[in-house]
Amino acid sequence: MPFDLNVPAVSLGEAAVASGGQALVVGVTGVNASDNPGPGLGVAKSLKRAAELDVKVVALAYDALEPGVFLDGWFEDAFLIPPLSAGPAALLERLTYIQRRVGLDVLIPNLDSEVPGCILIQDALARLGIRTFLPTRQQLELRDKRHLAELATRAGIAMPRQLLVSEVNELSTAVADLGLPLVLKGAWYGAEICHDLAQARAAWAQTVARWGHPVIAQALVRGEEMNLTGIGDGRGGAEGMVAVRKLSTTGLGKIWIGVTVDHGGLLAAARDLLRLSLWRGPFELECIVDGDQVQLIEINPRFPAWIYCATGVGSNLPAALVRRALGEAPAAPSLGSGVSPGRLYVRYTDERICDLATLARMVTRGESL
Amino acid sequence: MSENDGGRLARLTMAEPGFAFDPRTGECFSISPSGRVVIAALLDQHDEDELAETLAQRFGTELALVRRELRDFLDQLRVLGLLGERP
Repeated sequence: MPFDLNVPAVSLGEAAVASGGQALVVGVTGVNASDNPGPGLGVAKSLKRAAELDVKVVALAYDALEPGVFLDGWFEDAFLIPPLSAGPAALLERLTYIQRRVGLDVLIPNLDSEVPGCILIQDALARLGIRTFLPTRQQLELRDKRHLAELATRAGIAMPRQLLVSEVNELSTAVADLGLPLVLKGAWYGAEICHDLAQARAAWAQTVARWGHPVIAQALVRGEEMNLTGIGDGRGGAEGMVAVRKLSTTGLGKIWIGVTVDHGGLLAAARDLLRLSLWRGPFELECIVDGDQVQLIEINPRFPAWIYCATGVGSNLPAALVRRALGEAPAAPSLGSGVSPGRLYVRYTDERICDLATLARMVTRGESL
Repeated sequence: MSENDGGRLARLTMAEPGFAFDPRTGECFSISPSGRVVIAALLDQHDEDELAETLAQRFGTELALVRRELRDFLDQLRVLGLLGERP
């Protein structure tokens, strides 16, 4: 269903006035900063650090207790947005309100499950003056976990064997075919290493209950996890790619300390994938690397949670994305050579004391103003 | 015959004396002072016998002991993938 919805068009000029004049207003999701941090805070910090941009960042949260709501050093305002289950129309309606309230020039969705809905409403958002830089629906399908093996094969990149497991009694076949241990993954989120069939059955049930069908069983491959981020320009090229190796992780496997690397095979794999897919927008490649061999695990259609690492080594990808969304060419100051090996990325926990009034406003009104 | 797998060893950078980093894989290694001498000599294409004599003289240690410890160190480098297989 096209999202036309009789929304009155707002020209860029009007949007600029609505946003208070000169500063760009960028809406950013994924502002949870707990044990599974989203990319939103790293995106906000990157935007603030871009000297060539005068930007205000608006936190778009699903819950009033997402820490980004309270980080007024990085976010000028915060708004609750409807859950994804409410559908893209509800999101469009809410963003229309936010655009009129504080002005929005650009939207950066930072969670995988948001991207399809944002693609559906991007034209309607553009008519409001809210720009995006997103992949096409076809590109999103190409890197879907269920189809990724086809793309990897076409690009000549190795990938662990995988099977779709639609029913629990298919698990024994998957175990026999892929061996143990294996990895069970949801179509969107979740991954659990299973060492025996009983564990696999329990993990399958939990995955279906939480993320639905299908469940993907994937052979476990050994090596080092290396992830790479960048922006696809929509013409087969990439800008500002940065790769990291995890040096320490949380209990959930999230990077806590990493180091940037310059792995030729990994960069080549990324370029091949982008050339084939003509990817448009931010991306993260998750790979397992063993010596020269690179095995593709996933392609995420958004910035990773460690995106600030790229900014820190000279590739301010969020700033570059904003300029792409506005139809501008990338500016040299925000894009480094793309690779600076040997730089440490260190996460830590910080604390703030905040006024309860912010929480009260978020809960009662859905906004921090 | 030199046992030097120059590629990976040569790629290591020393962020600090005794701390080596492989910019391709992101691996980090701590290396003793004598280990640094060995690696420098390997990169300079010295073979195991030459290395042992150099180390024995430099550190004033019995040659037989140095040979044994050098062999262990080179095996460690092989396990880490920094050196080719023993000929």
